Amino acid sequence: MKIALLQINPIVGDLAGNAARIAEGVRKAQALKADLAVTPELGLLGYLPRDLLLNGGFIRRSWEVLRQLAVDLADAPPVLVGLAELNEEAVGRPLFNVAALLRNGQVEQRFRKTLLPTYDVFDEDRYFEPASGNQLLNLKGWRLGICICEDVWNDRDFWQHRRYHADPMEELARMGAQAFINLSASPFTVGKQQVREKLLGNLARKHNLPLVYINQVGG
Amino acid sequence: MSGSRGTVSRDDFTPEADTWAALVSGTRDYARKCGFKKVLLGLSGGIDSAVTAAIAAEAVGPENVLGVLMPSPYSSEGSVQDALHLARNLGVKTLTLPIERIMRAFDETLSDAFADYGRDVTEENIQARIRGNLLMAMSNKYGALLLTTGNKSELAVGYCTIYGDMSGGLAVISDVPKVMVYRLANWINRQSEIVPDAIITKAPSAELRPNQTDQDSLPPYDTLDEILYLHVEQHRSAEEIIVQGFDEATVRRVLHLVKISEFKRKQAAPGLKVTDRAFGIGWRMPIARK
Repeated sequence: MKIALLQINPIVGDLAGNAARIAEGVRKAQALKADLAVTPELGLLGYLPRDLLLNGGFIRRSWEVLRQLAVDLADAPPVLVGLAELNEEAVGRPLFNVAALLRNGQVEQRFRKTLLPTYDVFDEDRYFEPASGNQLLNLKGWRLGICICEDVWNDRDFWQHRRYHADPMEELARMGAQAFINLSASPFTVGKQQVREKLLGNLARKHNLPLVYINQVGG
Repeated sequence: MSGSRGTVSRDDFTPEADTWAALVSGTRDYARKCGFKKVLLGLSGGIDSAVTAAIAAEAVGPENVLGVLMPSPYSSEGSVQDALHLARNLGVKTLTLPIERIMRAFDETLSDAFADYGRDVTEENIQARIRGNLLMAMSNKYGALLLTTGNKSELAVGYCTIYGDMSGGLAVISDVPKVMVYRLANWINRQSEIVPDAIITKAPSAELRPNQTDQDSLPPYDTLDEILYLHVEQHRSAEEIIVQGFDEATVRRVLHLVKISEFKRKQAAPGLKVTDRAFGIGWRMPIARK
């Protein structure tokens, strides 16, 4: 299976521009015969949109852009696009942080982020409702465990103290995932890259599964 | 320096290389995404503005950077020469605007209001604000993004002037501790001298009064930065820091300075995060507190 990682440099709020960047990446992936393309977390919106997420018009427009993108890329490989989705329930935060699968001209499954960082520069509890369970993506005979950023940062064997009760990676492995795909928008700090590599390496070894990780790039 | 725009640049895997790449990328993208092609900054002949200028030149191209020298009677001749030397090395244009006449105009206008008061830090701050004001005027007139050059250590203890040297659109090195600023300067010079040696070896000074050095008011930077790392990034209290072997009076003084300077950070320009805790949206301390 060939996966194309679209490491784009989005502009926050630039829906048309980010969609164009994603489309350009998918076309390159298509030429290279990729089976799947993946954007970073919230790749269509740019990370960190902050209180733009509270603007219903912005969310609505992002879905119009997403649906059009699906149509434009109907003949291209499927792509997982990061954006926010309305929480339609009567209870909970206004949105979910999701990866939406675009395939055959449609927006298909959405995969929701479970662990919502709300420390240091993060405020995800302000906007997002956590996922109440995980799903697998069935693609080309593979069962793929889709997760988003913080979801990989809670392994009980890596950290002495964990921030969250749930571990989506363990759950995805229990559900029969044959590989993990993580969409991230993880900020830079000096020395963090070494931590990421150790963390992700430990996860891959622990679950004995390949792990594919894509981060946003740029400032 | 490497021309790493748009390419994967060779990485020597040092913290300095990592930090440099992040600061260049952050400056370039912030300017571009906010609609600025050009940037400007004050060049004092000190190491902070030197490193900021080097980052700016790499980020947007030296032809898009303007360095402004604003000497006062308290500026050493060496500082002016050092700033010009740096600018030549970087290929950056400069403008020199001496501020003595403006200082005198401020003094005259305020002389009645201050008749019963002695000269103190007020007059130092006025100089910094004159400079900040001139730079903002140029930013407006030229449509260029003003970069502030303050480092994390001085922002932590409030060794900076609100509405003065803190004025600007992007605080490039506001998350870089002073000791790391020096390491960056030496790293920039690893293949050839770009930051003049005099800038690296001189004693840090704000040059706002005669014979002033930073260490008149602050502990040595290597000690200060260690205390600040424990307090700011790890949220350690005075007791927890003292027990690690630091002088008690120094620790209490530093933490006191951090506390009373919160009002300045509240109004600081947005900066580029490169550590685990920067003074931007990830640091949320109350101002009115005991």
